Amino acid sequence: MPSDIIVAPSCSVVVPTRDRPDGLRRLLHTLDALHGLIPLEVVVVDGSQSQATKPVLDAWLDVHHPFTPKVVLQRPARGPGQARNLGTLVATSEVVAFTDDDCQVDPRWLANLLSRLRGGSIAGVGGKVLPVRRDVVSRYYTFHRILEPPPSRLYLVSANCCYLRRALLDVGGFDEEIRKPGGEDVGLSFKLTRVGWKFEYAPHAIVYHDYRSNPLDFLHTFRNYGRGCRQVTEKHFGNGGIVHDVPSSP
Amino acid sequence: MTYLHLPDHEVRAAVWGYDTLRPPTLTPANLARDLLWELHQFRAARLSLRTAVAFLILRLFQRSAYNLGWRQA
Repeated sequence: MPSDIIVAPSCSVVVPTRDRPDGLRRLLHTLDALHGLIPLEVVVVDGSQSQATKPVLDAWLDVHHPFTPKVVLQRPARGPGQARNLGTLVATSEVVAFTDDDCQVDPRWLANLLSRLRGGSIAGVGGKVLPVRRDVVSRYYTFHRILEPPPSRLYLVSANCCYLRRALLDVGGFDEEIRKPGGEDVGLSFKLTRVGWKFEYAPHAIVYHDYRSNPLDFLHTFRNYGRGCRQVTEKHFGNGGIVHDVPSSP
Repeated sequence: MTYLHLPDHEVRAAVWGYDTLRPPTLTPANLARDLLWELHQFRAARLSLRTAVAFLILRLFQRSAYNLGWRQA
C-alpha cells in the first residue's frame, strides 16, 4: 500500500446501474485502483431489468476490495434519482460521491474531488469529464463540457460529483419524479441553492465517460435532458424566472 | 412557493451558453445566431473543417432534441 493512501471513513461512492454489465465491470475495476483517498464503501444500486448485471455484481462481492462493497436492488426501478437516493440512504459516510456505470474514474478522482470540499457553504463539488473514446460524438460532448458544471456553478452533474450527505438528506435528495436520466441532478442543485448551499469545481477530479456514439442515442439523450430540465427549472424558478429569449448574442 | 432568483443570463439566452437551461426557440434567426457563435468557437479552437461541419450537424441535433423534450415535458 503506497504511503500516501488515506483511508477516509467519511466518503462513500454511489453508482446507479441499469443493464450495462460491461460498463459497470469496467467502472468497478477503476474504483479498485483509486489511490490518494479510498472510500469507506462503494454502493451499487441495481435497477437492471435483465439478469446480465447479477453475475458482475456477484463476482464483485466475492473478491476483496480496499473498501466495503454493497449492492442495493432497486425494485421497482423508478429512475436514476431514486437509485441515487437509495444509495445515499444506505451510505454511512459524511460525503457521498456519485458516478455512473458508463464512466471510469481516474485513480486520484476521489482525492481531487474531496480536496475542494472545504467546509463553509460548499455542499458539493463537481469534476471534469473526459471521453473514453475519440469519436466525433465524444469529442462534441467534451468540447462543449456538457457533463461538467457550468462556470456559474449553477448546478453539478451526477456523472462526477460529491455532496455532503446531510445536505442531501435535508433537502430530500434527487428529484424522483424524473424517471429518465437528465435534470434530476440539476433539480438537486436548485434545492440546495434554495437553502443557501454553493458548489465548487475540481478540474483535476477526472471521470472518463463512454459516450454512446449512435445518433439516435444522441437525440434521445438530449430529449431527456430537455424534458427533465424543464420540469426542474419551472419548479424552482417558476414562470417569473424563465423569461423569453433576449435578442443579443453573448 | 418562493422561486429562486438568479441573474437572468443564467436562465435565458438567445444562444445556448453554458448555463442556459431554457432553450431559445428554434426560429431561423436564433438558429443562425447560434451556429455562427459555434463557428466562432470552432475557429478559436482551431478545429478542422471536417470536425467543424460534424459539430454543426450535432448542434442541430442537440438543439432540436432538447427543444422537443422541453415542449413534451
